[in-house]
This record gives sequence, C-alpha cells and structure tokens, in this order.
Amino acid sequence: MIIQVISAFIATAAFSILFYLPKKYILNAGMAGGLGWFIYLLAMNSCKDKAFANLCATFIVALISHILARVYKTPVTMFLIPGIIPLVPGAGMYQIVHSFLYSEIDSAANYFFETLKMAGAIALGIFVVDTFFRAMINKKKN
Amino acid sequence: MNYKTLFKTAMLAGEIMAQSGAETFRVEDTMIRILKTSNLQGVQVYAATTGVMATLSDPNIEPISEVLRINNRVNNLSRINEVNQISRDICDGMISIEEAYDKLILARNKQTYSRFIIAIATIVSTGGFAGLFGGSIIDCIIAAINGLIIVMIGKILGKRVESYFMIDAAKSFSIAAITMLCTVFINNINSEIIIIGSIMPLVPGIPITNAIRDTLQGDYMSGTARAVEAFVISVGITIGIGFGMGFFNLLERMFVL
Repeated sequence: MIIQVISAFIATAAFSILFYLPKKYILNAGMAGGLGWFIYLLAMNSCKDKAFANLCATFIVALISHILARVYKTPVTMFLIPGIIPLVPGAGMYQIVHSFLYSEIDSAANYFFETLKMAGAIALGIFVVDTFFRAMINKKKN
Repeated sequence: MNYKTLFKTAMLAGEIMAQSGAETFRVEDTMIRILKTSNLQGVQVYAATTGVMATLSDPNIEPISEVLRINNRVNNLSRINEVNQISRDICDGMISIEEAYDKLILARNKQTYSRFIIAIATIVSTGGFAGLFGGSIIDCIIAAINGLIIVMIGKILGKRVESYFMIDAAKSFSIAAITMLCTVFINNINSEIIIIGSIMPLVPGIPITNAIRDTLQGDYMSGTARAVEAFVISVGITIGIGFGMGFFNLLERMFVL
C-alpha cells in the first residue's frame, strides 16, 4: 500500500506537468493526489465499495485543494484537477470495453453502472466541499 | 481613464482563461472585476466554453461591446494562475491597465515547460499510474514504454490530424495492441493494470472536473458542453482500446490456426 501511495504521489506530480501546473505547486498537487489515493485505499479496505471510497477520497482532495488555494491565493483548480485524476474511473472504461469484446454483456452493464456511480461520487464530493466554502465566503461578506 | 484599453485588457484576460480551461464562473468573475475598476454602471459579461462576450456602458459614454470566439482550447493551469494574479493586481491598483495588458500578452505567449519535459512527465506518469493501481515493477516499465509511444504518436499526428477524437483513438489503440503483444513474450504481467495506467494521460480530467463545477454553479451551457467533451474523449479512448484488443485477438487466432 505504501508503494501504491508513493506511486500515486509521483504519478500525480508528473501528471500536473502535463497540465502546465506552475513549478512551485507541483509538490502540493502530488501530495493532494497521494493523500486522495491513500484515503481511497483505506476506505476500500474497510467497506469494499468503490463509489463510497471515491466519495471519501474526493471529499478530502477537494477540502485540501480549497485550503491550499486559500493559503497560496490561487484558483482551486490548480490543486483540484491533479488531485482528482487518480480517482477518475479510467479502469471502469477499460473494463466496460473488455466485457463487451468478450460478449459478457451482464458484466459490461455492471461495470457501466459502477463507473457511473463512481463519477457521481466524485461530483458529490466536489459539490459538498464547494458549497461549504462558498457558504463561508458568503457569511464573511455579510 | 481609457475605457477602450480597459475593455481590451478584460477581453484578453477572459480569452486566455477560457482557452486554458478555466471554469466559466472564473472567466466571468475575472472579466467583471477588471471592468468594474472603471466604476461605470453597465458591466455585462457572458462566457461559455466556446466564446466570450462583454459590454461596458454608461449614460456618458459610447457603449463598448465585443464578441470573441474561442478556438484551440489547451489546458494550461499556469496561464490561469498568471491571469488570476494579474487581475488581482489590477483590482488592488498595483499595476496600470497598460502594464497589465503587456503582462497578459507575455503570459499568453509564455511556454511553461519545454516539450522534452512534457515527454518525460508523460512517461513518468504512465509508469506511476501503473504502480498506483498495484502493478509490479515490470508492469510499470511497460506502462512507461506505452507513455513514450503516446508522446511519439502525439508528435507524429498532432500537426496532421485535426480531430482530437482520432488522435486519442490512435493512442489508445497502440497502447492496447502493444500491451497485449507484451503479454505473449513476457510472463506474469498484468495487462489490465498496464492498459489502465497507460490511458490515464488521455483521460479527460479537466473536462470532468469543470463539467461538475460549472453545472453546480448554474452555468448549464458550459457544464453540458464540457460533459459532452469528456464523454467524446472517453468514447475515443474506449474505441481505441477495443480496436487494439480486437486486433490482437485476430492475430492470435490467425497464428493459432
């Protein structure tokens, strides 16, 4: 598991370069990605539900991105996008195609709904944290 | 105050942000903030993924308005960051509008990383993603080789083929075909992990994240546009993988028979 988290860190940091993230934020983005994957693995260990694990991990990643964005006074996107990447259901896409190719329609449908659920979990995680921080800003303004 | 220059600056800021993959509300917010420094009454901005328009009006002046079509969107977070910083400086009165305009032009033309670094990053990230999904060292190395192939295909096709859909399909096709070939020659490798790790650089991370945030913000036009963008990219990748694996299947059968 430690190896997986370390590779999540490396992968996210390298990946953020593909999005032209400024140099000074690369380590932070890598940390967000590594932490997100760590939470995902922890949640997977305890409840074995991918969508729930995705929800927990997205929640933490979004929270950290918002905090880092406040600290560095940059847009939240800087940390949110690299951090979310390990959680994006690329595996689901592969499994859908694989099942289709080998005519396993049942499992293809299964993977399709699982992928949808995971994407929905990511959306929900981001949504909750975004709303929370927006509420804080609105409160400050009043 | 020269309203024309101010307006040009705001439009340029919006253009760079929209081109670099910023969320729609950020594009609008940045432009509104810059235009509001004029203290005029009528400030209207509308932004979408494919275009930006704005109007600056007041009873005392001739209204200025402009429509700008956005083509060639490339995800570039450091440009978003820089434009964000410049607009903050304008609002705080730290720099003049003329300076800001020059800085924006510089930001638009700045190359953050060289092609070589991007290539290295692609290779490292595919290898890293294979490790993230629980692959062994050999899996990571094969995924890294796939990363190199993604870079090479991008270089060959990037200038010749206009459609991103076909480029993505070609990339994932070669990933799948090469990985399946490797399974013949090397024992104990996990083709699933390698393929999933290698397609990660193609996966539409920015469109997905922005689709969610735009939709929840109430920008339904941009939200759906980005969701469709993400969907089309995913379909391109899946078709590529499907063809790659089907192609290998065919070869396998031909050689067995």
